Amino acid sequence: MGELTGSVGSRIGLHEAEDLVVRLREHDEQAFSEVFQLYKDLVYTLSVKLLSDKTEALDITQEVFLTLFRKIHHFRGDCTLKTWLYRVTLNQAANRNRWWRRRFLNQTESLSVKPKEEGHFVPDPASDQPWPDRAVYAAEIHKALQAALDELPFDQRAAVVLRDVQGLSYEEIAEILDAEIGTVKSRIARGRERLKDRLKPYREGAAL
Amino acid sequence: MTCKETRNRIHDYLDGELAANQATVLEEHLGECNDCREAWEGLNWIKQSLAVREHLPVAAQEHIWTQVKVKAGYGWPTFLYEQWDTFRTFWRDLDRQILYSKLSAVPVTVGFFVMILMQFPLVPFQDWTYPAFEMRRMPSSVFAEPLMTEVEARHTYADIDEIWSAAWKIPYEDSLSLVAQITPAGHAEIDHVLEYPKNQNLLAAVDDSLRSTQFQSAQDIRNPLVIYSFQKIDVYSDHPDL
Repeated sequence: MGELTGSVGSRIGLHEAEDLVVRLREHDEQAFSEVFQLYKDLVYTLSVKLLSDKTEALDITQEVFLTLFRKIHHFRGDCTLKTWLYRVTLNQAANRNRWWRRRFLNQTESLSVKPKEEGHFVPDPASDQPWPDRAVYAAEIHKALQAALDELPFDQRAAVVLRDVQGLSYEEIAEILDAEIGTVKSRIARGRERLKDRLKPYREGAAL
Repeated sequence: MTCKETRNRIHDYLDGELAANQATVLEEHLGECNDCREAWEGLNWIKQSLAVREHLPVAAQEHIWTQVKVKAGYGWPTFLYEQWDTFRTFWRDLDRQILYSKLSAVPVTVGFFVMILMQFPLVPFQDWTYPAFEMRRMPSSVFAEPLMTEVEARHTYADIDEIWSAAWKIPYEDSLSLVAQITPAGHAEIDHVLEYPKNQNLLAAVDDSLRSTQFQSAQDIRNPLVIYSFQKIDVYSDHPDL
């Protein structure tokens, strides 16, 4: 994963990026296409992890690149294009998050609190239920992790995802979230601790 | 290294942000302490499990790219879409907008109360109860014709000072209004009393004061009718009349 980020970083050097921004400002379609190919997965992954809803994530990806098309003249160049895209994605996701929570708080809570009723597999060595095979279990862990992420406060979730999924450095995260590095660190720490506590049964099940 | 220090640095260690010597110390501790190793394993497992990238589906890529190109081209449809989008965003963030308007209501409310408070005089109480010496009008009512308007009080400010120093000696918190006439000798006599004080001694004391005071400008006064009003005179406990 770190290697993937590195490859994106090395493929687009600094002056190359500046050149790209200049071309974007001139509404060069080829430049937009390049940016889209470069960052589509980053943006999509971030939105999926933040919202745990693939439809919403697709919508946000579209909004982000539309924003890139329309608002590229607002991009002052005081951060990298990647950081700017991350920021736009975060803002969009935060807005969706608010919107969604406000309207469907009851529904989302009731579904995520009782995973058993939803058909989730909850590992319990004491019971004699059949143990799923490795791939299914990995998918279950993935689902549970996403549900646990969804329960974190938005700022902690954003910090954890930027660090552990996107593999950004503390400085980059601080720049994106517009926060102090200490704040970012404590958000990451608290988020991870909560995820750890939440997924304890799954980890023990994986070790079996 | 204690467990507490380890827990504080475990996230830096996990992210590879810890200095090499500190990392060595921490690893030693992890080797010894079961609880901390357990915690580290849990966190590391979370970190590893999170590191899964999603990939934008190819069909979605094409759809998004087409949509972006269509919406980015400017024209009437785009303009209308933007108007709708602005409204939608406003509606979506209405709680924030309402918060802003609530915040802006704060200075307005404060200003409102400040304006109410400004109706009260800010002078000290003592000044507020300062006796009025000259009463040309009696604004008791808008409709009632003031009683005293025709009476011209012709005296100088030096006289007022003298009257004030005489009145200051009056011992009771009381009030009285009277018309005094300045005699050719330069003293003053009570002509008639408009408002009697509650304490009879007060009237006598004022009478004494007026008789004994030498008014400097007595010669200049052609119409020597003076209205004096002493209101809410403070208690002066050292006065011999008390």
